[in-house]
Amino acid sequence: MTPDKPIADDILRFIDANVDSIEQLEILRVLGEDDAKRWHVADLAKASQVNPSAIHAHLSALEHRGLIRTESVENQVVCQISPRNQSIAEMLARLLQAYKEHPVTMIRIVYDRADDRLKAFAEAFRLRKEN
Amino acid sequence: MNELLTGAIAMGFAIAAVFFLRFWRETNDRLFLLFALSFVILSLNRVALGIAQQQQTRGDYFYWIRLIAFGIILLAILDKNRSRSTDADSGVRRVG
Amino acid sequence: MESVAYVLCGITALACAVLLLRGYRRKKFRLLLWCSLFFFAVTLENMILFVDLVLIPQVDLSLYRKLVALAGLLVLLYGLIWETK
Repeated sequence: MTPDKPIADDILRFIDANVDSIEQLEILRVLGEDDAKRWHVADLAKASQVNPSAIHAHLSALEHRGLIRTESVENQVVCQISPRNQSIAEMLARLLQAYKEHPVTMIRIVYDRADDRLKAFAEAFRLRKEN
Repeated sequence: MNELLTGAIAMGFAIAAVFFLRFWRETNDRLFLLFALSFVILSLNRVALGIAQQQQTRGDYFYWIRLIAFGIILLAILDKNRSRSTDADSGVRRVG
Repeated sequence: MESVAYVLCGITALACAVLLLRGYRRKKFRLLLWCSLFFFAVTLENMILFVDLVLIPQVDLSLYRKLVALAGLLVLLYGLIWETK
């Protein structure tokens, strides 16, 4: 456990609500580098190092949360970063900034959190915290 | 209306119990098994209360069954606080 | 005698609610928040139960009890379904 907590609580909440996995974090990073750029799914999969057969599920989850937009152009799917509203846009920007500044910490957070919800539930019942 | 609510509540507890069973399978943490057991009892308690209401019998002792279910939750909490290591009972960690 | 049962159930539910809320404050997982709210609802339901059957037995509060319990369960199920992979 790192003794310092460089990542703000509201970013942690945003991660918990919006980012399920490292793959999704990477997708957001790649898309977020250029607001206007639209990516073909195959190129995005390569740039974010996500398995092409798995990427559609991630994209649809992110789109459902109002983070990205996908559309069909000439029978190909393209996607673009597209926060649904101003507050999401701000949080997304802060998330990506935090990822740029503290990549190792962010990866650890996302990796741990994806599996640790249940552990946190069980650990909540420990009366004396050994943290 | 009352019966409808009782049925819905019984169903709700049963569904939650199934989730806790799944969590127990995923984490191997006994706490979830005990919660599942507790919720099954709470669900059956509601079913029994529903039947008792229909038959106009006084089902007061049913509330002791509820107490047993909560006792199991207390047991789960005590059990969690007795086991020393956090890693030992968290079971297999799934990747990705 | 039943009042002992209701009070003990209520205390247990409240303990769970508080522990889960504390857990949510530390770890920020929303699953814990929904579960905590569920246990607060159960605590409330037990309190209404106590009032209903012990303090004012002439009035039937069973409808309100059940609505509170059902609301709590809906919140719990929402959390269990959406907040776990």
